[in-house]
This record gives sequence, C-alpha cells and structure tokens, in this order.
Amino acid sequence: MSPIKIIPKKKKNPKYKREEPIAVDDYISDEKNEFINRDLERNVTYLRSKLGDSGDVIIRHIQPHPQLKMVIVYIDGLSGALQIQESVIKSVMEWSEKYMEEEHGSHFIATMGDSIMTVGDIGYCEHYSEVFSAILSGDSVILVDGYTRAVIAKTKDPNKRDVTEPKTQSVVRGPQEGFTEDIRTNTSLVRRKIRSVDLRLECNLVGRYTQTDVSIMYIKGIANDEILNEVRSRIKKIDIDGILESAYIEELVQDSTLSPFPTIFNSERPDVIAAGLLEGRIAILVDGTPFVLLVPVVFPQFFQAAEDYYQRSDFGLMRMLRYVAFFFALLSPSLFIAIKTYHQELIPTPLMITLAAQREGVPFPAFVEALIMEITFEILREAGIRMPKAVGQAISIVGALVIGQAAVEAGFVTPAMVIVVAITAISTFVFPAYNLAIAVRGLRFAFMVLAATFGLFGVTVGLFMLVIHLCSLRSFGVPYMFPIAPYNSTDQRDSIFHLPLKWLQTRPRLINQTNLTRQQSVKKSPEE
Amino acid sequence: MKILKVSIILLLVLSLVSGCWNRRELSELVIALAIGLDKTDDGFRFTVQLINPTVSSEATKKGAVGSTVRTISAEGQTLFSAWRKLTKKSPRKTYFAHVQLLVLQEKLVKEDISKFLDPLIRDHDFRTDFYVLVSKENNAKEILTTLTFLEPIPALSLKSMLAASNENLGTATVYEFDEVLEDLKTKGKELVISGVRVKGDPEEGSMVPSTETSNPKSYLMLEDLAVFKESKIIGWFNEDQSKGYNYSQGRMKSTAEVLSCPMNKEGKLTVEIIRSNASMDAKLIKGVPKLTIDVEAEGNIVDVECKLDPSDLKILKEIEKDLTKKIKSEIKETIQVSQEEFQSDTLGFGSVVHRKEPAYWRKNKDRWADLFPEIQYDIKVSAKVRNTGSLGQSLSEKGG
Repeated sequence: MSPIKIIPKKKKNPKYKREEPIAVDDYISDEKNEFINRDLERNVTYLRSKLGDSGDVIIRHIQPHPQLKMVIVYIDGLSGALQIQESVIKSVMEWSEKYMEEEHGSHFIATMGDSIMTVGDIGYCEHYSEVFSAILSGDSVILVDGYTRAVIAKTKDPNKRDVTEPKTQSVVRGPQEGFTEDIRTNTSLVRRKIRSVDLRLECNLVGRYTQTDVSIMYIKGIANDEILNEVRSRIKKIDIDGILESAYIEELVQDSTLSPFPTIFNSERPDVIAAGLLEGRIAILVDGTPFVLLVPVVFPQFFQAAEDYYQRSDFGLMRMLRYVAFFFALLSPSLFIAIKTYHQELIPTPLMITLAAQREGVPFPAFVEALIMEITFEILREAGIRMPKAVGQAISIVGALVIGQAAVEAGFVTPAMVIVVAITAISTFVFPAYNLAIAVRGLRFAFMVLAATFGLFGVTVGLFMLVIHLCSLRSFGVPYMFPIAPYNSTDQRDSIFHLPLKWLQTRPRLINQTNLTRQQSVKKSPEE
Repeated sequence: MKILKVSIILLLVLSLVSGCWNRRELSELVIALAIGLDKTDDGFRFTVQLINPTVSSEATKKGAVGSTVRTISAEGQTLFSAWRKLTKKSPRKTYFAHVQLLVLQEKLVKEDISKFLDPLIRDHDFRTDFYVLVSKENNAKEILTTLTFLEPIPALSLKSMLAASNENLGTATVYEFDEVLEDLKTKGKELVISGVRVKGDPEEGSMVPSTETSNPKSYLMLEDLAVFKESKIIGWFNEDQSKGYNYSQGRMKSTAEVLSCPMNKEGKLTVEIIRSNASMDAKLIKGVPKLTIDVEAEGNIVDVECKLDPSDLKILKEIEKDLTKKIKSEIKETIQVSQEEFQSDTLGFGSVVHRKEPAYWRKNKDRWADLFPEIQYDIKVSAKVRNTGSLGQSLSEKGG
C-alpha cells in the first residue's frame, strides 16, 4: 500500500459555478411564498425565529383594547424611536380604543393606516418578504391579530452625516458640498442642481445579503439609450453577496478588468456628476458611499478638474500641465535610468560631469538605486494613509530624512536620483482623479524595468504598447481615447485644451448623436 | 488567459536573459573631454584629457583634492591602435561621446590630415560637434596638460575661450569637426583653423599650483589662424589677416578697429564693430572669373583720444570712410597673402565660382590651384557708424 494518498484533482466547471445551491436562496424563496398569518402569536414566533432573537429587533406588544392585540416590529437604531412613539404608538392606541368601542369593521387596517397614523409614508403588505425588507431598511411594521395585512410605517431614522466639503476633490472656487453616505441625500444634491423632469432615477437592489440600493441616474433625451440599456443589463447581471462601496459595482461592470486604467469615473462632487449628466453620461449612485460613478468615460476626462470650468479659461494651460505631470509621473525614473546607463551622449557635458561625480562611490546600478527610492517613497505614502493621525509627524520626519539627506550622505543613492523621485512623486498627485495615479504607479515600474534592460529603445517600445492598449480600451462602447483617437475636431475644444464656455456649444459627440446642442450660438441673439 | 501567461513569461525571460547589453554605469566610465594628436617617429601619439569628476564638479568638490583632469597618452602605428593602448593606463573604459576639442600638432598637420582623421569619423562613439585647433609650436600633449583658470576643466575653458574670442575680437574662427570635414572635401575652399599655444613652460602649467596664483607663468593662449592647402598646413594668418578672413567669410561677429582721428592724424579712435555681413559673387569677364566681395559692417564709436565732435555728420562720414578703408585693406591683405604667399584658396573663391559659373568650373576645376593666384577680385565695403556712445564730445575737448 502506498502511504501517499492520491487526491483526485477537482474538475473545474466554471459554467455551473454560479448555480451551486446556496442556503440563502432557499431562505429567500421560502419567505417569498409565505403569507402573513391570521394568528398574531404565530407571526411573532415566526419573526423571532427568522430574525434570530437579535438584540436590536424590537417586537412591541400593544393592547389598546382587551379584544385588540397588535405588535410593532422595528430595529432599534434604524428606526427613529421618538417617531414611532409619537406618530405610531400614541395615535394608534388613542384611536383604536375608541374605534373598538364603536365598531369592529373589516376596514380596520386601511382606516388605521390612511386616517390615523401621522407618518409621512404608509404602505401595506401581505407577504413576509416585504415585512423583512421594510424592517431591515428601518421602517416599522404593525401586525394586528386577526388580520393578514400589515401596515408599514416609514419611520426611517434620518440620522446621517451632514453634507460636508468633499475631502478628496477640493476646489478654490466652486461648490463646497460633497456627497454623503446616504443615497437619498446624494440624489437630492443632484436634483437640486438639475431641476428637470427629464432627470430620471432607476433604483435596483444589489447584493444578496446587503440589498444595497444601486441607482442609475440620467437625463432622458441626452443620455444614449444604448449605453443606458448596457448599464442596466450589466448591473442586473451582478450576483454577489454584498456591495459595500461603489468600487464593487465599478469592478463588476467595467469593460476591462486587467487594464491598469480606470474605465469608470468616480467623484464625490455633485457638480461634477451633474456636469457629467448634462454631457449625456450616466451616474451610478450606490447607497453607503459618497463616491458616485460616471459612465462612459474617456481618458482626457481624468485630466479635467472641476475648477477648469469655474476659473477664467486659460485655454487649457493647466490641463496641459497635468499631461506633462502624467508623463513625468510615468516616465521620469525610466528616462533617467535609460539615459544615464545607455545614452550618456544625450546629457549636456557639464551635467554629465556632475552626474559622474555623484555616481562615484555609489554601489548600486542606477536601476536598483531608482527602485530603492521609489519603493521607499511608496512605503512612506502608504504609511501616510494608514497610520494614526497622532504619529503623522514622526513619519514625515523619518520620511524627509530617509528619502532625502540620509540616503545621499550614506552613499546609497545619488542626489540626482532623489530629485527625479521627488518630481515623480509630486507629479503623481497632480491628477484630479486619484485612480489614474494608481494606474501610473504600476506602469512606472514596468517602464523602469524596460529602461534598465533595453534603454530608450525599451521605453519607446513600452510607450507604443501603452498607446495601443489605450486605443483598444472601451468604456461602455465609447473609445477610451476619444476625441484624440478617433479624432474629432469639435471635441478638441474641451479635451486637452479648454476653450472659454462661449465656444463650447456642443456635447461630446460619441456619447449622444441626437441631442448635441448645449447652447445656441451667442451671435444669434442680438437679431431678435 | 493562456496566451497572456505565456507572453508575460516570455517578456520576463526576454528582459532577464538578454541581459543589459551595452549598459554602462557612469561609474564604469571615464569621460574624455579633449583629444590631442602628435606625430611620433613611427606613428601617432594619442593624448586624452580625462576628467576627474569628484574634483571637477562643484557639487561634490568639498574636500576633494587633486587635479580636475588627468591626461594620458599612448603611442601606436595607427590612431586606433594608439587609442586602444590607453586602457593600459586608465582604470576604466574611456568614453568619447563628450569630446569637446581636438588638438592637432603643427608638425602632424604638415602631412595630409584627411588620412588620420578617418577613425574619428568611423567610430560611433564620437559626435562631430567638437572644435578643432592646431597647436602652434607646442605639441598637442602640452596643450592638453596645461591647467586653466575659472573653468576648471581645460577643454571646456579652451572651448569657451575660442568662442569668446571669435565673438568679441574676431581673430579666431570656430570650426566644428563636421565643418572641418566639409571644407576638406570641398574643392575650391581650403581649410583655416584657429591655433593655440602655451605661453611659458608647459611643465609648470600642468601643476595644480599654477591654478592657485593670480599670475601664472604659463597659460594657454589662442594664436593666429592655421592655413591649409590640400589638407596640409602651409602657413599662418596674422591677426589682421585673420580679421580679414573672418570679414570675408561673414564670420565676424564683433571686433575693434583702431583708426586715426579724421582731423588730427595723431590721435586714435576706436570703432567697435557690432554687426557684419558678407557675400561673394563671381562673374565671367572675357572668359575669366572675377570675384566680388561685398561686406557690410556696422559699428559704434567707443574710444576717442582726440578733439572730436561726433555729432557732426561730416566728421561721422569721414570716420565711416576711414573704417571702410581699414576693413578693405584687411581683406585685401588676406587675399594677397593667400594668393601670393600660400597660393591656397582660403576664402573659398572656387566654391563661389562653382555656384555662380558652373560651366566654367566644370572645365577648370582641376586647374583651379594654378588659376587661383591670378584671379581678379573686387572688394566693396560699406561701413556705418550707428552710435557714438553715451558721451558727446570727447574729454579732451575743453571748455566746449
């Protein structure tokens, strides 16, 4: 007998992966068929068993009249206790006591809901599934003994974060409000900016456990129907246990998973989202996060800051600066390595002498030197994000000393390399969209390897590959490099350049072909 | 997915296995900034000026001692064999792409220079934008070993010296290597290169203490222009002839012309030339080409040592006439020397004829060396005085 047990290799069959039976499915389907029982005690038992005696589930029995028993079910914390007390319990008890004296009719439930309860919104239900979703979203359910209908009172606690200044995308001039975690607040922020009946909101619940509200927002007549249908179908296809942030949706609906470049835009500024909607883009709002998604997106959009539109037009000088920063962030270490180790003839002679002098006594090749500095910087940056605020100063002192002086004085790296890494690091933070910086960061290391092995030739080949990749990307059917490739002359006015608003009369062309006019030409008005 | 995996592995293998071919860290190289060629009995002596980066660079200079450069020489039958022997004396591979200067020994250029310049063009390391100088009297090695003031690296110092004297005095010419090659190949234009020499004892000039005194006993100095005929040196232009040469070539940027005062012939007056332009034309007159040299010059009065009222237009006209005469005589002298003494077409008459009268040139280009000394020419100079400076009447004008 062989002592080694041969474990048969599991056959992968990805086609059937999703349809594996999961307990939750049974639970949901089971509950869907279940009607509310006439017997209150049985209902209470059932609710208790389903909600698992959780400590925050409140099942409040009230008996306004000896013959009338009812329970109010809600989750403490989600529902406003004060509102339940004032608008539900108090009004129901006072009224039903009198009602039971006079008449015991079959319209009891309807009357109670429609005429008595002083709550903003009222619903009725007969299925347990509706009962559960109401309870879990913060509403309270009133079950009455002897009736199969229940009243849902919208007693959601308005307890939420105030609208504050957006932390990640700040401006000098422009609206200082940002989205919050509450989707209703977020939709209202957009609605306040676009007061049009054409602004539509479609709600979906995504996530088997989380049942997160994922809403699609668009302007009817501007947004492209094909793209809209594509967004709808992609969101509908999502089957996941939970959605905790809009990044989940982004990952699940994006066009290219392996590309380092983001094909979906996100912002926590209502004005940016409103501007996107007016250009015919579609916003995806996810409950629980201040970051709202915008599709489709093109590459130049990641270089457009909200402030470009709020300050006097500089014809895109600042934008071009951001493009320059993009190339700095992407290429400066690799170009430095390539020129320093392969193409010394490109360096001006006086600089060459200085660089050669700095190189004396440095033990590592330029590539390793750059790698040490880049990795040190990335560690510092990562630590800067994660560390507790109280130790921030310690990190910055260590960072400044380690990355700057000490590394040079210890002879680990050359001062020139410190400058290059510093320029690279600062350039990374220039982009208005942080997720582009993540893409650039990864590619930078690839370019450094290319530069160290093949010199400028390698960098050139890498750039070619990058351009080909960028041109092959699509965001919901729209070419990623639009309007540069495919070229569109009209849209050049607001991509790399930024002409004054007066001359930006049309919306981006590839997103919507029918409703293009943003503003009538200003010249026409005096004739009227 | 499989294709992706395979291509990633291939890329990794490619970048790791192929290695870093031709990769050179800066600390594996020693940078040559100047090369000098001397003649030896059976071949060449190849001298390079190598920089000592730690001492040369301002950034890392603190505490570093020693000379900014080190020259090493090697001898060989051919240029290339000599320069490969350098490795025996240098700890690192010599890097030639930053060469700024090529110094040729006068004795060496008495032979055909086109023969030995070949490897400098053929080798891919060299760029062709370095300056070329001929060392007068001294040998090239002595030029390269002399230390200089202000600019710690002699090659760079000599280069900026050359540029400065070309721009402000007009006696030197700035020829880059590719221009030298062009003139070598052009029939009807002979080569003219600036000369350089060491004043004083070359041995003393190579010591570091020579940079630590305000009045060193030996130093580098630009001198005259070397005139070539058929790729061999044949003589030297003196200062005035050098100026005439630069005027005629349109290479004169700025210079000073000393004239005598129009009223009082004993006093001196200096005009600073601020702009000049030249053009040449050739015409056949009775089957013989005649050259016309047109020179325009503009200058300012900068120094007056006699009683003179420069606001007087009549006097200005007089000065302009003198200036014209002076420039004309300088150019004329240059041509006379070229025609009679050197019989070398330094001004490029031949190439002008080639351009203007191609038929004549085709017939006579092989006889041009014989024809050139007899060529008739006409010099037209128009000199203007534009500015008389911030002083009206001169200091010697008393009372007003």
